[in-house]
Amino acid sequence: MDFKNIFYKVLDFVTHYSKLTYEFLFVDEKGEQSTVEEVEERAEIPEAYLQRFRLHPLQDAKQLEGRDEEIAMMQRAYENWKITRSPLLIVGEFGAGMTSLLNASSAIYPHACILENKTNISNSQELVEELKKGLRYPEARTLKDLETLPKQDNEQVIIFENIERLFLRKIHGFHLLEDFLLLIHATKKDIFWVATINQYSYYYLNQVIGFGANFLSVIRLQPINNQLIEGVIQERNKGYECVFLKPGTSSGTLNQQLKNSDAFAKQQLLREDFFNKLHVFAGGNISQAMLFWKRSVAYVKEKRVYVKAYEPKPIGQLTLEELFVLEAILQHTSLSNSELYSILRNSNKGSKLILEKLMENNLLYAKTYEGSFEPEYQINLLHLNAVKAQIHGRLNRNIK
Amino acid sequence: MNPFFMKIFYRILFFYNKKNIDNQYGNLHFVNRNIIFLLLFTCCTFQVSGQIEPTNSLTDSMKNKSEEVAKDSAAIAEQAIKEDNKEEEKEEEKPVEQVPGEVRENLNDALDKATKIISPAKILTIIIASLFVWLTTKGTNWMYRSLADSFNRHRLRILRLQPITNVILWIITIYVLVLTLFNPTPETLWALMGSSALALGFAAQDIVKNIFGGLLIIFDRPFQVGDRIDINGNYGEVVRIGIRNTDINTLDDSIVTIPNSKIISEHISNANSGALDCMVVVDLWLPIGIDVERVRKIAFEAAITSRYLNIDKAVSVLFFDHFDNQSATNVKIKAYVLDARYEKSFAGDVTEAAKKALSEAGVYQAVR
Repeated sequence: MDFKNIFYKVLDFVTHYSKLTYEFLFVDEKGEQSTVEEVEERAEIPEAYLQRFRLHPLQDAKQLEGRDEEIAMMQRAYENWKITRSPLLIVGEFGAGMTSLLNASSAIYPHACILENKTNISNSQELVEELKKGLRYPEARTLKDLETLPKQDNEQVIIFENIERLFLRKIHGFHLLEDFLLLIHATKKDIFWVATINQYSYYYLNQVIGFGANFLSVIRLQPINNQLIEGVIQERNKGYECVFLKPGTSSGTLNQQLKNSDAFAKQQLLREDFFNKLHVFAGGNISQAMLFWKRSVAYVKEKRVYVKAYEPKPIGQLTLEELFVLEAILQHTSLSNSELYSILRNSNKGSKLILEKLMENNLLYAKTYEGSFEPEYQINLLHLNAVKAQIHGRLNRNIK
Repeated sequence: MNPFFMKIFYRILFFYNKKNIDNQYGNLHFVNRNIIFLLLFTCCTFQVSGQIEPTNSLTDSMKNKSEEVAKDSAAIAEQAIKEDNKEEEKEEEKPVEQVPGEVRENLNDALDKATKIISPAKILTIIIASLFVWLTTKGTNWMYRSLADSFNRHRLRILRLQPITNVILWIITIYVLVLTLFNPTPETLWALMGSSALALGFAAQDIVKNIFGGLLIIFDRPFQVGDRIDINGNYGEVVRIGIRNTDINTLDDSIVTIPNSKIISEHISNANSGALDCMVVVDLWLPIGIDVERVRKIAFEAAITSRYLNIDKAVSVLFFDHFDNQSATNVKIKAYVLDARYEKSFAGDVTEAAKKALSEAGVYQAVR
């Protein structure tokens, strides 16, 4: 690195932090937020291209990349279960590829039954109905019946996805989870139970009721390697040529380097800068990386994709009540309005108003699942990092 | 004008104008604007009065000016004495004893010294320097508060620097002013300290007590800004530790100002001792014959489901039976609130939820 580069790097650093200090001291955030209305315009991008980046769990173990260690740990936990008879818990971040990992685990557990829970289970009857499918015991009517399950010929593996769906953070809201844990302990001799949970629910439940103590083996999904993420993106862009455009805000170093480079070197520099930004944003989360790419695609023209790094808008300072709502949703993966107001112990209208405001700010999105009457509100992955940072800083929660 | 200060002046002016152009919604705080203008004003005043010079030249110029003033004053005084003497000679028309030369010299010396010690330029310098330091302390306090708001997690660590900075700023200012303007000899200093101690001992002992109390609080730190303390029945958050008084914001949002001398002689109960969270004890009064297991579960869940709970610390539920006037069971829920500022919100939330659930469970019906 020559002296000139070092000089520009130092200049960048000083400019960046001076700007931050200046903004911190003199810019009134609220004023800017309330007055600046920007309409987001999406250029025409072919649906066929966008389909390539649709967020959906992988079905095939061969397609799964970067999870070899976790698969090996699952294999080891299964071997251990044969001796210790202890269940397995997998903890992961939203969008980290938990379902894809479970689908891929069919290579280890060929007889496994995956029970996917998309909405909250509010009573034991619903839970029994769900478990009856997996345990192949249609006569069961209560959880007690399931405890006295007749022994099967094969070793049974039940994967219970999103165990946090069994609790609601309210008085008497933990009964179902406790009953399910009792069922796991009662049947663990014959069934290898694998449960999954999101990391925020795990943190909460572990602190307040010592949830983790019920599982001897706990696997935490690690962030995916940056090279692998780049590889996945390249794979999905097969047949297209990517052209990287100059980002909206670029550092002095980059500008200087671009000035002195030819077209090929420019593309290399822009590509490197783009992926640096993508990795900072995604932090090893494959879904967030895909979203970043989708948001960065400026336009597609004759098998050429023009990409300009997405710049997330600041979410501003959230109110205490908004943070409480977002925290509750993180702890439960998704919540309906009626569930939310029973958790926060405020009025139905009050929680609805906060939800509407958060929806307007694009921090949440609503999804209505089959068979449910109310929409479920989930955190928008694009703003997950910013929301987490505020919950960490303002509510003093040890989540990072 | 000194080129260095010219530069500063233009930089500030440029910065301020740019801000106004950039900020089409006029977001620049009123306070910020005032601070910039006052800084400019102070700079200009210093510049005009020629006070901003390196320390040595400052002292020299001050000395020269003081000497000139002293010489003039001495000459005037001598002239006045001579005229008085002449008049007396004329009026009395009798031989008059001459004023001894020593007395005259002593008088002149005294006048010289007095004019050297107190001159308008020195007074002006002291006023401007004090104003500048006062504004600086206000500015640093505002900066600390803004930082504390932005980095809530480190709020108390930031706020505890506030009184220390203020005291250090004032000590440095007084030290620099005394050295540069008066340049006292060690003898003068000792004499001054002795006489001041005597005077203060009689006249201003309460103020001195408060100041020493303030220094003791700042450096011994029995509590810090942001702590929740109880002094003599006044419970609330410490919002300011001053040199003379300490301000506490009570739970009904009134500011109680307590002299520091009182604080150091009282028992102080500190709820959080520099930590962001604090323990909250919620009392529930229930009939004596309650189902303890069921009540424990409800009380525990009321605490762990509260949004204000610090989930990193344990929750405990205790039972105490009372048989004084009417027998009752006192249920104490002990838990930590995520931020001491939400202490009452937490207590209210837990009480409300527990009461509702206990009522639904039929626990209160046993009283009827």
